[in-house]
Amino acid sequence: MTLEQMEKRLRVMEDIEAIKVLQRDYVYALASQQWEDMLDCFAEDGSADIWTHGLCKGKKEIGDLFQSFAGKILPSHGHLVAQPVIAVDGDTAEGYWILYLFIPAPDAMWVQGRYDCEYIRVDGKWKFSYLKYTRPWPAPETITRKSE
Amino acid sequence: MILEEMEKRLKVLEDIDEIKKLHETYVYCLSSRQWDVWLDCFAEDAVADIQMHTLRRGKKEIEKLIYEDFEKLPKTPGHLVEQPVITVDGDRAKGYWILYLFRDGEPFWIQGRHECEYVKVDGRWKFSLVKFKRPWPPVPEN
Repeated sequence: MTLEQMEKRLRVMEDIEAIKVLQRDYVYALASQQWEDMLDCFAEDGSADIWTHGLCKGKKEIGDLFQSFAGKILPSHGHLVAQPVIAVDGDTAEGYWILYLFIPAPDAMWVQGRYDCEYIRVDGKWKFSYLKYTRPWPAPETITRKSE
Repeated sequence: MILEEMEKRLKVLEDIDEIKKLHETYVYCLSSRQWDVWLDCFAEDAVADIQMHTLRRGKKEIEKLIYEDFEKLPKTPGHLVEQPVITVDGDRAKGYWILYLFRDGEPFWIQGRHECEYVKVDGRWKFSLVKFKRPWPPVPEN
C-alpha cells in the first residue's frame, strides 16, 4: 500500500463524515426553520423532490418552496434523521436515511419517512445535487411479501 | 509511525463504517420486507436469537423465520436503530445498538436492544449472531 492509496481511502472516510454533517445540519435547519441555511445545503443546479410538493429545480425554486413551509413547521415538531447508508464515488455520492417526524398535538403521532439523496463536491464542500423525501416510508402499499 | 500500522488503523474505521451499513440495511429491510436482502445480511452458519421467536441456527433456518413468523405478524413499518457501539478484532466484530419499534396508529414506542456479532466473509461483513431483546432494559419482576 502506498501513501497515495491510503490518502484516497482516508479521504472517503472523511467524505462520508462530511456528508453526514451536511444532512444533519439540513435537518437541524429544517427543525429551526432556518430557510437560508437549508438552501445553502444545495448546489446551484440542485433539485429537490419533497413529499407531495413536486420537483423543484435550481436554488430559486427550492428557496420558494422552503418559504412556503413557514408557519407549517412548528417548534414542537420533532425531526430525527438516522441510519445513513452512504456510498462515495470521487466527487459525487449517494445516500439514504430515515427521518422521523414527531408531532405532539392534537394527538401524539410519529411519521417514518426516508431521504434518498445525491451529493456533489463543490469547491471542496459537499452539497445536495438531489434530495428526495418520501413519507410515509415504506408507503403502505409497497410493503410486499417478497422483494419484487 | 510506519505506513502498515496506519493502514491497520484506517482499516478498523472502514470496517466500522461497513458494519454500520450492514446493520442499517438489515433494519431498512425489516420495514420494507425486502426479505432477500435481509437474509443476505447473514453468514451461512449465523444464529438469530430474536426474542419471542424460536432460536434459529444457520441461514436455512433463519429463512424460515420470515415465512413461519414475521409474515404472520402485523406489518410494522417503524424501525429505528441508533447508538452503535462497535469493536473490531480482525475479521470479527461485536456491537450493540438501540432499536425502537413504532407501530402504526399507536402513540407509544418499544425500546429494544440488538447485541450482534459480525464476521467478514469473502471481504464482506455479515452477521454471525443477531440477538434482539425487548423491552430493554427488561422490566423488573417486582
